Amino acid sequence: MNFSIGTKLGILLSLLGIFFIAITGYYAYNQSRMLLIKAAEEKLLTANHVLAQRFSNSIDSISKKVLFLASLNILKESALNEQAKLSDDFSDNAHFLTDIFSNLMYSYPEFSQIRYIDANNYGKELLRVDRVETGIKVVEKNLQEKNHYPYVYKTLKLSSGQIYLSSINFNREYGTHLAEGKPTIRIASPVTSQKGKTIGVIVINVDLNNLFFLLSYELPESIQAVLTNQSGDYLIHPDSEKVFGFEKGRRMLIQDDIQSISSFYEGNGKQLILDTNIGPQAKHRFVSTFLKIPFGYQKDNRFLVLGLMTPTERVLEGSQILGRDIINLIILFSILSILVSLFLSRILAKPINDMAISVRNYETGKRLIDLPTGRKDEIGFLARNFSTLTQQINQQIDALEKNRTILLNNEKQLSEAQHIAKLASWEWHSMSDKLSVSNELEDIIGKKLYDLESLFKIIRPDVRVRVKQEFAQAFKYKHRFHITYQIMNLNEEIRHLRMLGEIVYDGDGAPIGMLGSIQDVTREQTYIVQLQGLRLEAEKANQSKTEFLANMSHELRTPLHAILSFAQFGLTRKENITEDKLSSYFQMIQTSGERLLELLSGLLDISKLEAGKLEIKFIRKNFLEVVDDCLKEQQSLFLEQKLKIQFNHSEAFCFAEFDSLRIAQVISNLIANAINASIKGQTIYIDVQCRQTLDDNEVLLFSIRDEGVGIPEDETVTIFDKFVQSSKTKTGAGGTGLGLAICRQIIVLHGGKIWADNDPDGGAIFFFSLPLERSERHQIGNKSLQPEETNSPRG
Amino acid sequence: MAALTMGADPFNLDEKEFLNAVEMLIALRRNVLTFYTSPEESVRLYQENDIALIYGNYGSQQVKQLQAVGADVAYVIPDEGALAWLDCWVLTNRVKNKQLAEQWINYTLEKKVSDTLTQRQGLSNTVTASGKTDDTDKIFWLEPLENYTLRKELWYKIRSGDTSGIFSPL
Repeated sequence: MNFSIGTKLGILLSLLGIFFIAITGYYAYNQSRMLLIKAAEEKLLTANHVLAQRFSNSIDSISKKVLFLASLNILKESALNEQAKLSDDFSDNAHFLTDIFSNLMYSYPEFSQIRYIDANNYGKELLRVDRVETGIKVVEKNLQEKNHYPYVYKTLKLSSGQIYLSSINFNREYGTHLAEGKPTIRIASPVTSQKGKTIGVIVINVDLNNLFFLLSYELPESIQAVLTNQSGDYLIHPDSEKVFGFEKGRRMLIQDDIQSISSFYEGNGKQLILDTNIGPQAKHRFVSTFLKIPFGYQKDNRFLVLGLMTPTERVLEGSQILGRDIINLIILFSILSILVSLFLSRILAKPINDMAISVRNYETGKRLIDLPTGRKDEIGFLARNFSTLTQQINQQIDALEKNRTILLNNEKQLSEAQHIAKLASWEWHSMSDKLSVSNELEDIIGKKLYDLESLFKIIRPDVRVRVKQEFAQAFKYKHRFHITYQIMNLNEEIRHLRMLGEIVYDGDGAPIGMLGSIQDVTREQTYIVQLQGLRLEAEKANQSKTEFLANMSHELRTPLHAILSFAQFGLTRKENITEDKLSSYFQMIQTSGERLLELLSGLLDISKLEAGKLEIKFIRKNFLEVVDDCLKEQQSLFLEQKLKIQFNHSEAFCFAEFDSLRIAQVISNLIANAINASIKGQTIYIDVQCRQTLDDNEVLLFSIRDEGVGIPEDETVTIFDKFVQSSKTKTGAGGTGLGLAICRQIIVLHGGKIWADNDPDGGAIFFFSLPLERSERHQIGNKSLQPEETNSPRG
Repeated sequence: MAALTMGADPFNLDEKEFLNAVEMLIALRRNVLTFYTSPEESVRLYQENDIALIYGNYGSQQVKQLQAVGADVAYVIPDEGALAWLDCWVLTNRVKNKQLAEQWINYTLEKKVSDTLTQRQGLSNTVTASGKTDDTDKIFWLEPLENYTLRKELWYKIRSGDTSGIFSPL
């Protein structure tokens, strides 16, 4: 549990308060017990003294009565009883004496018997007044001999005026008196004649119980009295079983009940105060006082012990009430102290709590409200400090906010710039190998990266090792990291990324990581590749043109040279040569001129075709007719070369839409090539498949095969370029080198294809295909073409 | 004591013997200083008075106490004889813890305990011979009385000081 300072303080204060109250209460309780016991002891002692004094006074008083009786002249004068016979005088006197005895008995209820005993005649009783159930009785019959009793034989030894005090025991003397069997003290004194002779004894029997009852009737119920003789035998005790044990053959001594009292009986002490457990089992605790009561003459050193006891429990009853009161007080004061503590803690804690709430509710930029800044104590000081603190915080937050806005703007701009530039920033910490990259990279590569290894993973495997090496090198030798091109693979796409990196240092100049950018340069790279292609093409075109011009100049110069040479021959030699010879010169000039013309026509055609200025007139027509026409045109050549021609076609008619003039030009050219490639006696095979599927299109497929040397494998494509002749035909076959280029252009314009191959049995095969229907593309394409008349090229 | 003096059976007196005994006891009473009830009392009386003879009702125990206070006394058994009794431990039929009782008896019969009894109380024990009696001693072991109540009453009266001829008991 968490307690506030206030609560803690409150609890502490309460506990302290309760502690002190409890201590005080306990002390008061203890002290009160001690005081109560002390008071009880004093009270008991006082009572004891009073009682002892009363007892002594009673004994004294009785003794005086005995002396009074013994000193009566009537007795002294009547000491005539030498023969144990009462004289008549004495008889009268006897009445008088028994009256006195009786009156005394009436007045003193503790007296049980008063006697006058003869000193002779074995201690015969002369006068005897007994207390009986009915009252006072003067005994005249069965008077007994008492010589053997100490109160007689001892008293007789005393001189006049002396008192005998018997020890206290049961009255075992047979008779009808009430005192029989009762604890009795016999007080006696000798009666002497006027001659000084002891003639008798006056004895007053005192009932101890009666005497004691009379003496102690004022004692409170809680106080018990005990009386013992000099030996410790109980004479008076609340438990009647305990008294006069020695008379019953079993002594009951106070020393058996109170061990510590023995020394008191043996010593010289007059009084004893005890707070101890009493009884055979020492079960109950008593406060008690004991006093020695001198008994008899001082020289005899006889005494009785009178004790008063009161249960300690009873004594402390008051303290228990006090204890309860104290506990009540403790509870009351505890509650009070708790309340006061709560109040105090509230006084202390409330402003602190208020401040805590105020601080908790503090919103940046606002002032703290409800602060007790006006107070002049520590809390006020604290509150003012809080207030100042929050003001400073606010100021700093304002400044921070401004900076943050600027930073945010910058970051936003940077981010936008990065986004536009497809530029991502990255930061790598060497210790944790943690890589953080900006969102742009995710846009570029499609996923987030968290460490360097995953960055390396997406790099194309063949490049990866190099990138890793360079990265490690850069970090190791603290130089810039720059991978100028880098190919990464993601989403099945190839992207080109450029990665730049700078070392980051800590405060001590030690490298802790790298910071840099990644930029998607795919488009850039694509452009570069395209540019390179274009440049190559341009270079190639340039080269072609150069070659073309070289070829052209060569091709043109040859016939021109022949024309000029033979014309010069004719002019210079017309005088000296024969007419035939001159005629052959003209023949040569004509042939060369025709060749020159043919060359120029071809050039014109190819120029038009390449410039897209040649019009294709699509007309639906039977292709086989066109092939037939071409073969007829070339028939003289076949015959001349003694070549056989074999023309196969899949169907009787092959209708398609094409420009028959141009296609005928292509077929004638291919036939002429085949003738050129063939030697005497060989066969040329022509095949037309009217309906053939090629690249998912229905086409017409034309092929022509010769049995010549064929085309070198690497020239099957280039052979269709301008001014390119098969290396095998160049030497002997001749030709402008434009024929196949023109053919290709025408076929391409028809939407078909043209290619060459070598027959496995020897010889070359030329194929071309024509779409059966005009495709949309060609219709549109043709409309843009300028219609122009051309001559049919050869060759 | 009176019966022994008379030569009668001390436990069975007839009427005449009673009368004689009462007379003898009254005569005795008139002759003695006093009567006592406990051995301690006899010692005290011996110390306080001029006493030549004590009827040693408590026997050797009493002698020991008297000797302890310096009395030059001896214990004799009269020619007429003396009463004697033995203190015994008896187990009743219904004894609850017989084993414990037997253990106690065995304990008291140990030499150490018996010697202590002799040493402290002056009483003879059953283990060591005392040697205080001889065969000529006339010993009357206690027997049931013919009339306990009567004897008690008579003695009570005699002690109280009644005189002869005043009562005729039978």
